[in-house]
Amino acid sequence: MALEGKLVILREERQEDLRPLVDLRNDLDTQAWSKTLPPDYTEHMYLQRYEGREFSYQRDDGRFIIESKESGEFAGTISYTGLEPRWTAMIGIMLDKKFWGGGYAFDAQEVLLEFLFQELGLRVVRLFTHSGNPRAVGLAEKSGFRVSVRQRESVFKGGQLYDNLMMDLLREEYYAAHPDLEDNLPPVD
Amino acid sequence: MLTFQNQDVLLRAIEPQDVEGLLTYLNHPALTGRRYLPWGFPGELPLSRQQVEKAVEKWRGEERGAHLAITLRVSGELIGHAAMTWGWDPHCPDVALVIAPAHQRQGYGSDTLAILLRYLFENTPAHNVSSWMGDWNEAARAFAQAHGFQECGRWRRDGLRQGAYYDTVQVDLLKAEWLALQKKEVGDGAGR
Repeated sequence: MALEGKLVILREERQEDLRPLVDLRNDLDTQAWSKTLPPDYTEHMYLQRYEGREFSYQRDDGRFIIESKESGEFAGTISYTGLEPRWTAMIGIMLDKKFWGGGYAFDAQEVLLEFLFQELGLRVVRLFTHSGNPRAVGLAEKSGFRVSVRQRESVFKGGQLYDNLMMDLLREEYYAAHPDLEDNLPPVD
Repeated sequence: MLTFQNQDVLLRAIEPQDVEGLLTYLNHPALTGRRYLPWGFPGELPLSRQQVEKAVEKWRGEERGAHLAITLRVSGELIGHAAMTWGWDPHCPDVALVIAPAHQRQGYGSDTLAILLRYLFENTPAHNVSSWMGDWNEAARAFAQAHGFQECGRWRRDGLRQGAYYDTVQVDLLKAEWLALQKKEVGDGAGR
């Protein structure tokens, strides 16, 4: 069973994805981090990262390519990191501007969240963004995330100071918003 | 002059010979869940010597910050450890400190925090300094508040303690707020 939504499929990274991944990283609008990176990443750097991934059953991350179901095109990337098994992980997303506004990011986010809550049995999923990125805040809120930490003036980007935001989504909040899914994970409290 | 000491405490680099002292107080029941260890180390389980040695090695290898032993100036006794780390962004570093239970409530935590904050705000680009503690840790929350930190949010469901979820409270302090506190303290001192 693939990780599939209405508009997208989440699949493994392939060598042919390296060029569009470089393009996402080198665009200040899409590179997504609170830390601005120099837009000089190369395919060679991404090849090193790609080839540096080692086989393991004990990984604490998952990295997916977002592919348009309709066209099969590369639409972006979505990942989770810092997995604490059966507890939490942090998610992040970058979407090609060509696909902005079409519901692809939300669809990809929902597919990943279903995987994290239904398959990995997480209790809470978190993400970081900043107050200068209302698109990211809105996208997260659409899936039920809320701002839980607002660290003041701790991000500097585009000549401005912004608040660093940590947003989180609790397991029961996710299931309350998805009545079609049943939560059978035994409670811990 | 840049200094990591005051009249009572001296902060120095953590060294392998600190393992014994760390092992003793980190396993003290009163520090359960509040002992500040590298990410991935257990916060509540009994710690082995090997685990403490690994923690010390990690701390000693820190390249983006410092992990320091808190010692008494007169005797040299290890009474706690402290950290200031900034990862990729020295604009917003974190601070943490632990005082061994036998030495708490004697002002050593305040002494240490004052030294760390002065270093960060006067010798690095720090603009916002933050820290964390469990929401159940009233002493740490009161300590942070007393030193000017504000609670800026909660990491909801960050762990489980005695059968219930707890949140981790994040606190932060802006440089302007720290400077205002310094002026106030000087003013208060002059008025005595």
